Amino acid sequence: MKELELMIGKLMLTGAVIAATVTLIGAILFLIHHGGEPSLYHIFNPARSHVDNYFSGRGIIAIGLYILVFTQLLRVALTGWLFVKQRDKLFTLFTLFILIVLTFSLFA
Amino acid sequence: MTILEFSIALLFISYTAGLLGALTGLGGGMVLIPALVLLFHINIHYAMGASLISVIATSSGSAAAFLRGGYTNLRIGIFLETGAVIGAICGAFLTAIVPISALALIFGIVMLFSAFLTIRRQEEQETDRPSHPWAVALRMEGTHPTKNGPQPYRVHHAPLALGLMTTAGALSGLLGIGSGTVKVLAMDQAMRLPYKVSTSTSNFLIGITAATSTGIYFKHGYIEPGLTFPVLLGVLAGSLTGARILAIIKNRTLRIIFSVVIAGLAAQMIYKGLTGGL
Repeated sequence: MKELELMIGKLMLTGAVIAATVTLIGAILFLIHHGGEPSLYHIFNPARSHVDNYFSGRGIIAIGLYILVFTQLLRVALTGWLFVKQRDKLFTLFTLFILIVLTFSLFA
Repeated sequence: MTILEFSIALLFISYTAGLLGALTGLGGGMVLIPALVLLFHINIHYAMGASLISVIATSSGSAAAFLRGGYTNLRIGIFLETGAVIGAICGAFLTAIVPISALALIFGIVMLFSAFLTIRRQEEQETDRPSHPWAVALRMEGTHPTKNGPQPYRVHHAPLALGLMTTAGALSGLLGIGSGTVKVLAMDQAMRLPYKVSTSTSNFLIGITAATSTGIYFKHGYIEPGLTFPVLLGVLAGSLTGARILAIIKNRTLRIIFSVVIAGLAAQMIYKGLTGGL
């Protein structure tokens, strides 16, 4: 069980490193193309946050952010697997509940 | 300011916030959001979106180190997280409805409360009372490593802790923070767990709770990629540096200094909230 816990930890760290790397690549592209434009983040404009081109710098940053968020699904799923292996029905159900709420919140 | 200059400035302030957050255990969001709002005049919704993402990064980035330490109690964690995810969804829904001035006000109050708890924090409180019946039935009791080998610990007030965690989840979704202080409050003060068990388990849960709110944050456009990247990279680097030097620094003094800074920022957030200056 201890090995599986350590594996979850390593996977989360790997996910964070991959997400940060992708974000950094996107950030460099974004700054090359838009670095000289004025920053207007004091005004909230919901339409601006929308990403329509995932090959642009902003799009690649967004992909990095999605990777980070989706590794959290992996965290819950692997913790659930830990309880499945222990044949602990109640805690498997608890974890499944969390997984369903998280999935629903991300995709609904 | 151009986007380039702005990004560099954000990277530095986020690094500092992440570093201080890790050193004091208050988490990055608590100092990051007021800094973004008060110093950089960033819209509070954008600040919360960027903070929420960086909270997930911190939780993931430090997960390996925390799990290796052997203090994380996954049974307690999963039990409490069932409440936290429900809270997180409710909080994220509310954040779109609550007026910005009220958000600033609530944020300021939560900051003051966290600073107060950090100053007042008591170390280990041993009790002889048996664990709460839920904790026994759900086999939540565990052992934690000490100098004299693994020591067992008891688990108290399980229902109260579940309620506190639901509140922590709601605050996380409402304000875009990790709510680490309320999570630790649930485990440290209500459940009476050893402090390292509380912080390690809390760290494991923070990423899951924050991720639960991101769906709604993305949908409302609170997470702006161009603003989020310097914050994410800065906080992640800062918190990883903080975790490394944690062992060297005697952090009680630092905790108090930081709490005073937090209280000052809180007062400004409350003032801005009351006068509608945001």
